[in-house]
Amino acid sequence: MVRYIVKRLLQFIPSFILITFLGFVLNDYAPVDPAERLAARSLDGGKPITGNQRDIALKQWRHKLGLDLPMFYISVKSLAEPDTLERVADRGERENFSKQAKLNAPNWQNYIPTISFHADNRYHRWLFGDGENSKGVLRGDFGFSYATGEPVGDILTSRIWYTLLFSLGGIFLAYLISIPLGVYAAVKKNSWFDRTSSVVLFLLYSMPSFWLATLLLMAFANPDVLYWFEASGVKPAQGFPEGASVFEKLRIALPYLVLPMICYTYSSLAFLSRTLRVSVLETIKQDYITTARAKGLPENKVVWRHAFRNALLPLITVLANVFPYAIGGSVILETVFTIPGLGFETFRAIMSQDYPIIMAMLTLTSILTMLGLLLQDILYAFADPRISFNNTKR
Amino acid sequence: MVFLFVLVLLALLAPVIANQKPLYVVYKGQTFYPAFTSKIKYTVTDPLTKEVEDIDIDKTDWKQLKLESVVWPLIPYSPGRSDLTNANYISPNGKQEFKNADGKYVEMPGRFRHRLGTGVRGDDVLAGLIHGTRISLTVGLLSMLLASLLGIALGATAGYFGDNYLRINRGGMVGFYVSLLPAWFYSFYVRSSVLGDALSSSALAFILHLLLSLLLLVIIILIITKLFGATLGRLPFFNKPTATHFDSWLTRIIETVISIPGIILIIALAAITQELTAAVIVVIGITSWTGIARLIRAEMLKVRELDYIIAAKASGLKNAAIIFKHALPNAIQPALVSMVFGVASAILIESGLSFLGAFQIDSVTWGSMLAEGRSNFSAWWLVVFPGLMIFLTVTSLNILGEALRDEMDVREN
Repeated sequence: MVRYIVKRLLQFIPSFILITFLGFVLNDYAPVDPAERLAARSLDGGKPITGNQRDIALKQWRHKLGLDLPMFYISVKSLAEPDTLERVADRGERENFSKQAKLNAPNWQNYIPTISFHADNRYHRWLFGDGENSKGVLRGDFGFSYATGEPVGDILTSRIWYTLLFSLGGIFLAYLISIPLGVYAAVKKNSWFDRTSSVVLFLLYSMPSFWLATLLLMAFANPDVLYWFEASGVKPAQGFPEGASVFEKLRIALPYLVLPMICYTYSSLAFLSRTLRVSVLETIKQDYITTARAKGLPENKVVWRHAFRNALLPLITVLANVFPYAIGGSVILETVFTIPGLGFETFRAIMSQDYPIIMAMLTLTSILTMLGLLLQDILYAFADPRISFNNTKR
Repeated sequence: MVFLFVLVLLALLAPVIANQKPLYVVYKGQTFYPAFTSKIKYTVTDPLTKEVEDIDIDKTDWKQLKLESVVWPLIPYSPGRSDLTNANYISPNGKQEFKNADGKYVEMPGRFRHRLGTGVRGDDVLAGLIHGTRISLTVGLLSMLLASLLGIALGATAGYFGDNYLRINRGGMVGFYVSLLPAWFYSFYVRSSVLGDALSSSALAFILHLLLSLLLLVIIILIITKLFGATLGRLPFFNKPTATHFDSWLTRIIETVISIPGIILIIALAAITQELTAAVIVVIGITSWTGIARLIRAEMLKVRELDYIIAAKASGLKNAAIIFKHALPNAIQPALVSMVFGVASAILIESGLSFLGAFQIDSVTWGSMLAEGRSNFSAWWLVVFPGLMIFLTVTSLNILGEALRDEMDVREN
C-alpha cells in the first residue's frame, strides 16, 4: 500500500507542473504589471514617485520579483523576435519593441520557430527560491501579497478555517440527514414518503445554490420581510465580548451561520440521498439479502448490517470531492454571504490581480484534489475488499 | 422536454420576439422592416414638406414616432435598453407610465406594459430573460461541443487501440517528440493575433478559431510524425515498430486534467480577457472532456471485442472507418448522458459567475439580472424570474439526462 501511495504521489508531479505553469501563463497575460504597481506605490515623502526615480524603482522591483528573467525553462519564439525582451523595464516600451521587431524583420522570419532553454527563470525561482528574498514554494514560501504586502502563507492560514468550517460542517450535516433519508426511502420503495422525497430531492438537486442563497437572504435576512438572520459576515462587526466561552461565541454567531450552512448542505444532501437510495435498492435485490431475510434476521439488521454497508461505495466519492470543492465551489457562496474564507479571498485576489495568492490557491487546490482522489481510492479498498491496490486501472 | 424546445425556440427567435424595433412600420407613407434590416439608418422624405429626416434605426425610440401603421414584436423592448420613464425598479403590477407620440405621459397601455417589471434603468426584465436564453444555451452547447469533440476523439482512439495496437516505428516516435513544440508554434503562437481578434469579436468566432488551431496542431504533429517515420524509419535502429501506449498516456493525461481547478481558471481568464462567456466555454471545454473520454474509452474496450468489429477488421476495413462508422455509434450512449448533464452544469457555472457581477458583460444574462436583484431585495421580480429560468432549465436538462440514462439501462438488461 505504501508503494501504491508513493506511486500516486509521483504521478502528481506532472499535474502540479501543468497547473502552476498555466498560472504563470495567465500571470504573464495579466493587464497589470506587478512591478509597475509596486513601483507606483513607492512613495517619496508622501508623494508617489515619478519620472527617473520611478524608472529606477521599476527596475529594482522587476529584478526583485525576477520579472527580468524568462518565464519557463523552455521558450518558443519566432526568429524575428528578440529573446531578451524581459529586460526592458517599461511595459509599453516592451510591447513596442516586440511589435517593431516583428515588423522590421523580413516576413519569413516571423514563421521560423526558435527554441531556447533557460536555466535561470521565473518558474525555477518560484519553485526553489532566489537565494535572497524568497525560499521558494517547495520550502513553503509563497511570497507576499501585492495588495497588502502580507506573506501569502499567513493570509491562507487565517482564511482557511472559515472555508473548512462551512464545507466540512455542510458535508457532515448532509451525511447525517441523507443516510437515514436515503435508506428509508429505498426500504419503503414506492411509498408516499419515497415519492415525495424523490421529487423534493430532485428539485433541490437542480437548485442553483446562488439562487437559493439569494432567496433565503431575501426572505429571512431582509428588514422588510423577516429579519431572523444576518445577511453578511460570520460574526458581529464589534467582535465577541471579552472572555466569552466557545459555546457563547457560537450562540452569538449563530444568526450569521445558519443561512450559509443551509446552502452548503442542501446540494450534497440531495446528491447523497439520491445516490444512496439507488445503491441500497441495487443491493437489496441481491441474493445474499434474500438469504439474510430467509434465515430470520430482523429487517433492521438486514438493512443496516448487510444492505447499507454494501451501498456505501458511492458515498465515498462525495467525501473525496469535498476538499477541491471547498475552494473552487465556495467562491460564489462565500462572496454572496461575505464569508472571509479561501473562496472569497481567491475571488478578491483574481479581481485585483494579486498573483502570488492566485498561484498559491491553484497549487493548494490541485494538491487537495489529488489528495482527495487518493483518499477515495484508499477508502474504496477499505470499503470493498474486492478492490486491491495492485490493479487499480480505471 | 417541452420546456427545452421552448427554450431553443426562444433562443433562436429572440430578436423577433423581444425587440424595441417594430417588425413592420409605415412612416410618412413609406414602409420599413426595422427589426430585420442590417442598415444603420433610414432616410425619410416627408411627402408634403419635402423635409428630409434621418432615422437611426437602432437608437431611435420608435414608440415616440407618429407611425401610420405598425406591427410590434410580442415584447416591444430590447434587453438592457433603458426606459427612463419607468426607471428605478417598477414592479410588474405597479404603476407604469408611457410617453406617447405627442410627448405626454399617460398610463401605460396594456400593449407596452413591462410584464415582468423593470430594472434600475427601466430595462425590461422579460426581454432580458428571452435574450438571456440565447447566452445560456450558447454557453452550454458550445462548451459541450468542444468537450465532446476532444473526449470522443481521444477516448475512442484510446479504447479502440488500447496500449499495444497503435504502433509506429521508432523514427516516427522521434518525429512525434520533435514535432510538439513547432506544432504549438505554428498553430497557436503564429495565430495568436488572429485568436486575440476573434476573442474580442465574439465567443463563437473564438471557439471556431480555437478549434482550427487545435486541428492545425494535430495535423502538423501527424505530418511530421509520418515524415520521420517514412524517412528516419528506414534506418536500422529506427525501423523497429514500438507500441505508443496511447491508452496509458491518455489515462495519465486525464488524471492531470482532472486536478485543474476549473472555476478559479475561469475567473482568472475572465478577469484578463473581460469575456466571461468565452472564458466559461473554453475552460469547461478543455477540462470537462475527461468524463466523456473515460466513458467512451470504457465502452470502446467492450465494443472492440464484439464479433461484428472483428469481422469488419477481417474484411480489411480501415481502422478509422471501423471506429467512426461501426464502433462509435454503439459506444457513444453513456457519453450522451454525461453531455446533457454537462450542458446543465456549464449553464450553472456561467450564470453563477455572471451573478457575482464582477465582470463587464455587454449583454444581459440571467445571472447579471439576478445580481441586480441581489442589490435591491424590494425588486423581488429581479430575483424570482431569472432564478426561475435558470432553475427550470437546469431541472429539465437533468430530467432529460435521467430519462436517457434509464432508457439505456433498460437496453442493457
